Amino acid sequence: MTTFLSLVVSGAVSGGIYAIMASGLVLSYEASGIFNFAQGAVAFATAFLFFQLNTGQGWPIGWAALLSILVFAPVLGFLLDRILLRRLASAPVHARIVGTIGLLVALPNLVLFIAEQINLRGGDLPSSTGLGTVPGLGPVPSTTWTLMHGVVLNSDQIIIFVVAALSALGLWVLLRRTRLGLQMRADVDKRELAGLRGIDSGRVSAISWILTMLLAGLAGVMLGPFIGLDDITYTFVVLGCLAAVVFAGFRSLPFAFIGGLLLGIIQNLVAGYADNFLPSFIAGVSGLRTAVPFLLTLVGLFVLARRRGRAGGTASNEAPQPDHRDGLPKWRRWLPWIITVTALIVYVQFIADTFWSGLVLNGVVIGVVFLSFVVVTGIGGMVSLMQATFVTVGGFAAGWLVKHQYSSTTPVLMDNGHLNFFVAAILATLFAALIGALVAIPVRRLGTLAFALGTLSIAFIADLLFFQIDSIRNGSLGYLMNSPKLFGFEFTSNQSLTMMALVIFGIVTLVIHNLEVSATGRAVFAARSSDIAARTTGLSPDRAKVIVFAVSAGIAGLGGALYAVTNSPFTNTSAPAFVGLFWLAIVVTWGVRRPAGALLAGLTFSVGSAVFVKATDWNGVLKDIVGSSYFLPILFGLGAINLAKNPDGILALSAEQRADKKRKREAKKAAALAKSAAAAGTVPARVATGVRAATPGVATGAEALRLDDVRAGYGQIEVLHGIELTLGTHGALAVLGPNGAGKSTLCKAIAGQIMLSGGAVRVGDRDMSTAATHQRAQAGLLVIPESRGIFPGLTVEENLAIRLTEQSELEAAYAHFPILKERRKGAAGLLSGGEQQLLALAPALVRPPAVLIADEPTLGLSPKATEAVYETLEEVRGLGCAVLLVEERATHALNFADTVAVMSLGRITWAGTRDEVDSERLASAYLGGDIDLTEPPALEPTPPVVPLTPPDD
Amino acid sequence: MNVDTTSDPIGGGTATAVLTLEGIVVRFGGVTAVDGVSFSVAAGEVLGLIGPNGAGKTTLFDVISGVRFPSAGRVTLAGKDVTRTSPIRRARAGMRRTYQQVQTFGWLSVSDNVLAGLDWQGGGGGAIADLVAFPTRKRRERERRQRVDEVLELCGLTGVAGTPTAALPIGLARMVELARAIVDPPTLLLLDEPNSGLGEDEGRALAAQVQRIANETSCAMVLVEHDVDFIMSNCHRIVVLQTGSVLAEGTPAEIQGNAAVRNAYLGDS
Repeated sequence: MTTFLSLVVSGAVSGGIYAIMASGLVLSYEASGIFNFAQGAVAFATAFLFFQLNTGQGWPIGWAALLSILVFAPVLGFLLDRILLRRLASAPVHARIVGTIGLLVALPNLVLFIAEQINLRGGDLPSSTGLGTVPGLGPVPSTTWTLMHGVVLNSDQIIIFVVAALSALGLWVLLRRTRLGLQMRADVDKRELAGLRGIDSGRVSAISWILTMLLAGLAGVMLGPFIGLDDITYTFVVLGCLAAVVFAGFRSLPFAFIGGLLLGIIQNLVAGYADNFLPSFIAGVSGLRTAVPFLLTLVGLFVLARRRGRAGGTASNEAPQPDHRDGLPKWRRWLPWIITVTALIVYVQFIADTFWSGLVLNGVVIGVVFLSFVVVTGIGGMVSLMQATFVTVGGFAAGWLVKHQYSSTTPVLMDNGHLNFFVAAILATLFAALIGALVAIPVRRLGTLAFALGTLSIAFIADLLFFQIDSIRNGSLGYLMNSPKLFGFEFTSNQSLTMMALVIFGIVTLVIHNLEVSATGRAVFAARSSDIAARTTGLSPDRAKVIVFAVSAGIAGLGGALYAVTNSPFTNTSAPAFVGLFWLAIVVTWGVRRPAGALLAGLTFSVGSAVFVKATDWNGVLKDIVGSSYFLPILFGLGAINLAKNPDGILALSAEQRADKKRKREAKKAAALAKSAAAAGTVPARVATGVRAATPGVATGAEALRLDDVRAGYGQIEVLHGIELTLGTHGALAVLGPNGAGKSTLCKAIAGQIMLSGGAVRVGDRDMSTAATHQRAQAGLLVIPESRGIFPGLTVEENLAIRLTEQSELEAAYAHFPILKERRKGAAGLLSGGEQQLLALAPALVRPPAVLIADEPTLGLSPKATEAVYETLEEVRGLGCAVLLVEERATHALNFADTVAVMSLGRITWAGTRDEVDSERLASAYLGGDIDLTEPPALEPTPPVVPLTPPDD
Repeated sequence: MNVDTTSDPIGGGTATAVLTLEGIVVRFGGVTAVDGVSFSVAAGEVLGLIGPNGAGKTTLFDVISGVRFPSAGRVTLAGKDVTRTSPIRRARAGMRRTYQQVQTFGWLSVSDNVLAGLDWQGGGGGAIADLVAFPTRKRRERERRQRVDEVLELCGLTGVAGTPTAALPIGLARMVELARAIVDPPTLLLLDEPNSGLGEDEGRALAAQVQRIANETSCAMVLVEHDVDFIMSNCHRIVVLQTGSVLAEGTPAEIQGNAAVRNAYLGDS
């Protein structure tokens, strides 16, 4: 009983940390769509600062905590949001992942680097950061209490409990009881609508990052006393809370918090009772406790994937990145290759000493490993964080095969009763490919992020459990490998081994090229462009993904076998999962789409660190900086952050510049051409294609909304071809037309949800053509979008409170619609369609906007509900608000509006007062027919102006 | 160019029907998007599907192509029940579709886009052969490229065969989608707003292709289109959907004169 209670209590302590971390991750993921792999790095950086202030500078705990947790971490969050995260939010998913992984690599090293540099310049920062020397928020040494049943608790643990509870409470108060929290929840619930209601998504994202980093820093400081100050341990522990994040489905804060607590307890119980229910070879493994969260993560991901099921058409479509080499002749593409490889061979054969040739050899071998990233990420578009695992699998497989004695003496195949290395390497490649396929088959349907998290979990599980088992790793000493032999030739020198590695690199490059231009390659690229179109063309994206992943695993396995033979003995720490993240950063920096990038990345990885070793011979500042072991990770971490969006990495920069220059030249030429054509009068002036729709009573100064030659669309498709309309301050304009006419697009263009490709939108006397959605809303535009302008996840009252900030205003709304008062605590999504529409309109009655735009407000409503909606619209109009009503069904709209515009195929083809509407003409707009709509009688705006006091807002 | 809209639809009976829908119901949560739709399309027939916003046209297309499974009802393709068959299998059985928002394979060139329409046939050694560029595999590809070239010629795409599709203007991109859908001669072709975003010339070229397929092959076609003129002049028969149900069915002339259809669009009560 005592054991059990102790385990639960101490489990709840780590659970508290998980809970705080998981809440932060969920918060920022929901608000920005970015999963922060660097959460642990931020925790570490904050804890390190706290340690330096407290232990190093002797600051009291309170002040040190204040500066590190409440100043440093939030400021870091703010800066990261500005510099990095906001830019990533619009990037493809794999770029978002690589970006924060770059941060994970760079940040801890940057912190340690700064400390190191300070010490090199005569600073005296403490560096003892082991267990037991790092303070937490509690007194040092910690006070210990013994509770009932002999359960022991110390002050650090109690502080974690209290802080976890307080931060849960704080988050709850913030999100449930403040205006900011309401805006954040609204933004998460329905982002497009949040913008329409004047909520600035960018600000919400920044605040959520500040909070996330604050929580990370808080947890980081409290973790110190338990795990010491080691950045890798921090990341391990923090990524452990993944299980809680997955448990929360990436979105529920309370579930993340509870999940975190439970995770800590489960983890402790599993570790504590492992001997009782697990076979001894697993239970005895030291990594079991640490592996538990990753096992749970994996299970959770599958449950999540299964529950969400196959959602048709939801696969993200990825726009292709331009290849700047297009148009280059073949020899020009090959030239850099030939030069590089020749130079490499000459250098290794004739110039380099053993030290340097060994490094080049290592670089080429790592380059083979990096080719696997080219396949899985460059071609497949998947982010695999378990490539290091396949390297270990390949190394172990080759080692195991070579180690065993066989009775066969077949020449070439066998070598003194042992399998020839090359045969073993081929078999190891196939084995790794097989493992890759086995992994890929279940995880292929996970989305890009879940795939990355799944592979990361598998990598950690493999490291912590499987590779710890002695019969797999051949004890802690690993596998010893002899020099490879082929047809009697023994590859012993670095020179011959480098040639061997280069040949293998070449063969693999060829295989990758074959894959790229094959049917399998086409299927992969097709699925990346449009998963659903690939399926309906008869291609199988799943099969293609499994093949690509297996090929990449095989290549990594081959790299592992080579690594094992050039870096014998090969142990379970030769290629730890963690280094796989660093690898990814390097490859992405150089360019993940091309084999050349892999080779350069491999050489940099290997030779780079040696350059820094050699830098000890240098003098001065350069030696201190370049010679630091933290320098390379910082460089490539930052590189990955910067180049995450560019799959061609550094390699693309020169090509991009060349392409840029060419574009500019051509643009100049075209401009000159256009100029001369205009001068010659050969280009006709653009003819307005539509009619201006204008409500009566419009004169300068009394316009609520004015559109001039508005052109907009989606991507290349222009949907609105020059819309012109003017809405007077008291006007009511109905825009009618069949579906596909561009009515909803018109609403979006006015609201700012799609950008104009031409023309201008003015609200009142302000030009809003380039303003963001929330700015237009703040300028007095209220848009009720198609399919209900409510936040379904918020309560009725919260929906109203987004616009109505005063209690009296809420009461006024309730007085109008008693039904809303009855349901005020219920989720708005549970209201009937008609009630939802009234809820969307209610704020306009209490606080009338300058312009109300309603997009098909009665779509799908019963006749009774339709009546109610129109009554409300009449009332809103009576308050001095201009109304633009978009409808497909004409009858009600005709009774409501004073002016009618008919839209067809992106143009206003007719406009007039409602008395002038001819039902035959209208019918022909919908169903086609004889009436020519291209030359309708245009309505002249009737002059009498009725200047009225503008509605307040 | 116009189809003689006064004549009876070709076939029409279930005996020659390529596609038959029986009582299709689709519910999302509590909302019924499609509520008991039945109709069939015969070989060589062009069927137009129209209806106001939210009528369920695209949902129905998703059900036919297997992107979405119906809550109830039956989809029959060439006499076989395919209600629960994956879109991949249906495509391989001869059903191809295009999309309202063009879904070309932007990473691939125009000719590779079209070639992808034949790739499912495999052969020559499969993926392993791909890795080593095995000759049998390459030979198949060469044979298929001949067929691709014919289709490119037919669709007026020969000039842009090597261009990456992401760089194409919308009119050509729609043509690429069509070429990809017909390279492996389909028995059923679904066109989702093929005319949207096209210029007048492009629209005419598209209409010519639709006519050609209808006249020269036994392929059945279903068109969803906002451009009423396009529908009226290219379809043998029209089905009008309203809030998930079939409101009317008939020749273009009949639909134009149908009072219920006018009401559906105009909302007269």
